[in-house]
Amino acid sequence: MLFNSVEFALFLPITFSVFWLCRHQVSRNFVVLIASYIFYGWWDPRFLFLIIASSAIDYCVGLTLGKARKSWKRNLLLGVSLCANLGMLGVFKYYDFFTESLRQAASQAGIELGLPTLNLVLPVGISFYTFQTLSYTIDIYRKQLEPTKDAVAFFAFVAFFPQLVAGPIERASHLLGQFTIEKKFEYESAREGMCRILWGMFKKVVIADQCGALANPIFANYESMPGSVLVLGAIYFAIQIYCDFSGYSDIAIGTAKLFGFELMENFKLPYFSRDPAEFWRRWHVSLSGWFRDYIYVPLGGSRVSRWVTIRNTLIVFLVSGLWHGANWTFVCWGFLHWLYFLPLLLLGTNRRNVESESGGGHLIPSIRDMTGMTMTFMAITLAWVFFRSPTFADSIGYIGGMLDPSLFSMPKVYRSGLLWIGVLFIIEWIQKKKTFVLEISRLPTPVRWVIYALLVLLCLSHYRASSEFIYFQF
Amino acid sequence: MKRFIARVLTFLACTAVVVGMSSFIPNPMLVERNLLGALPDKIQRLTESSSPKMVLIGGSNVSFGMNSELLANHFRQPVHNTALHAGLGLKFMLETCTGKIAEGDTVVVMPEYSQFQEGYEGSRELVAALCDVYPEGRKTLDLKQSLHLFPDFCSYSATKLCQRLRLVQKTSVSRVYTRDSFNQYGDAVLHWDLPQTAFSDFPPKAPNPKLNEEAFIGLREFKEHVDSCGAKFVLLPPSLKAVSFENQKSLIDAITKRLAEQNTEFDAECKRYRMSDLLFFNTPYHLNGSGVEQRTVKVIEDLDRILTVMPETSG
Repeated sequence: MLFNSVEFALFLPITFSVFWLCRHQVSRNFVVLIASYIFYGWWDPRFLFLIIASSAIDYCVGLTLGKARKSWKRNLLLGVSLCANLGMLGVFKYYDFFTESLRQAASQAGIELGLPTLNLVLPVGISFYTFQTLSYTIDIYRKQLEPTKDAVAFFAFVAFFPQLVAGPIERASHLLGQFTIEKKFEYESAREGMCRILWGMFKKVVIADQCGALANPIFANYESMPGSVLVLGAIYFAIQIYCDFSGYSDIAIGTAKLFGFELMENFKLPYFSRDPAEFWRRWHVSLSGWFRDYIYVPLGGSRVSRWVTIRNTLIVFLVSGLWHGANWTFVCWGFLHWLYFLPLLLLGTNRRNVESESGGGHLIPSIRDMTGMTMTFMAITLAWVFFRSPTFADSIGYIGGMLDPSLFSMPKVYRSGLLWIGVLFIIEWIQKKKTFVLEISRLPTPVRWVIYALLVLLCLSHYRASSEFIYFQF
Repeated sequence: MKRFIARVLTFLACTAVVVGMSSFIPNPMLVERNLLGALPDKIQRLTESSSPKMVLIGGSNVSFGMNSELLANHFRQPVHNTALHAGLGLKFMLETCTGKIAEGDTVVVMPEYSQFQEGYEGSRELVAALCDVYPEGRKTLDLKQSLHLFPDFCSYSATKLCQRLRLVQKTSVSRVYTRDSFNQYGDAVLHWDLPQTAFSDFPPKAPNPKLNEEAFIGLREFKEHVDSCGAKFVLLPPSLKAVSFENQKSLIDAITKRLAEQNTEFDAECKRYRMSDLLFFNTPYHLNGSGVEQRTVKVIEDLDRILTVMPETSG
């Protein structure tokens, strides 16, 4: 079920009503669980067994791990969880990719491998919920978390519908506990939730889909486009993927708030970052944090020699690329980001912008901040070309086309999206200190209602059925 | 909780009233300039025509992809290209022609493959046409179709209001998409000599795509109606750009199989209308001048074959 669908517009109020009509948290968790399975099964009920299997394995492993004292037994249990979750991911997402890559490599060496491909449909959100369940087991293994005995709460935590198919990837230490606390309806939280849903819808339906409609023909016909249009195409995709994914996160966070749950922030205005390191502290925060805690730190993190730190960051960026999709273009995208990160690491400036905010408290950013933001946006946008192109050759062809002398010509077409991009950046910049962009509670009620109504009208006006979120495919 | 629900409901009610009222905002541009404005012209021409005649039905693959003059010259009978836009939905297209078919007519249906999925009941274009161009067509709607079109109705009404408030720009209509783009047969012709523009192919379809059973039932009932009138019914595949054809292969195979199960199969192989990428204008369904000519020749060849065999088999 898509957030931007009529089905969800009916599903949400029904689930909301039934949830709050239940008096006890146990029955509310049960409502969440059933609703989440309906939400997921709407797309393809066959894949419900995967999420149930993943939940069941980690629930049992978690309980057993909590009692196990011997290290070999603990290692074995962790291995079971890793094999089950990563195995599932491997079969559905990566098997065909690696088989095909191996077959091609062998073919170039003159060896014909008769490896079969599976041509399986990728279950929606598999990369998200497997990472969520994995983190639960790893945290218990590390003795950072007590296993839960409440099966309904655990299954609801894994399948929690607002964030099930595209995150934020929650940690059990943050979300699972919320299923055991008796909830009380809070007006302010619900109001904020509705505002976040509205803003997320606006970003998805009005901006992302519009930018997508402009970027798609440019990427599909890049050979015949002047360089300046190719630059526009890359910018449109950069905005599309941001508004699509952060729009989804806003809707997820807002929906969770309606039920009294707090999800973690997944995007912190990433295109206002002044260097690539800051970008990764603001973009898809839940995934970056997952890689940091479960890959980077166990490898030694930054408390090892400089060269090992460089190796560790390379591994994280490559895995991050591969997590996004089974294609070498995603690996290249990750590698390029590592190249951006490398000079900061070598110069020891990768944490330079941790404390300060872009632009500080000023409306007009300093020249240094502005330069940093512009350079970072350009570098990130260039990397998105690898992410968006179907093949590595297409990425190179696209970038080659961008560097053509026609780069300096004024694009005559495909300019219609620039106005909305400008509006988005201005609103986000003005509201950057607020907890969320549509935080306008200080304005008089009639003014707020007019703003909300205009956003609803714009969403309705731009609504197109079956416009999926990009990150569903990951 | 009560305060929250009361406020949300009040806000939604206010918005619903505003959106509902907006549907009455006139949209003269749609009637005068947009290609949907040609809908009453086409229906009137079909209503006033005499039999025997040839009637072409489909979406824009037909309006932007046929040279009816070649057909008329070859078969020596008037040809009416009733097609406009796939967004009108196959249900509306067929029901508009029902009652205008007579003995001796030949009805050639060439639906886009999407008509066998969610496209059957129409989309925003149908809403626009029924609101502002052809309100008489509302009587073809049933409850299920009305519910299906409700989101598009809200979207269309909101767009009219946003345009009036200048929140969104009125989209400038390309001259190939105007009421005047059509010749006396109903073919869109202004794009025939224009160069190809950039456009995207249809994305790959997953295996076992979901089909709309209503589309198959509607098509079968229409065929029965045509047969009962003593007219000939021909179902041909649409012409489709090669890359998009391959991407949609699973859908095309599923449709072909389902049509065969109810004895309304395509009267030609779908791959026969898988056409070279160079023959398209601005979508994987819109042919350019050369493409229109090649496709029409294929249709003539198929009709020659089908219509000579048909009396023996049906008689």
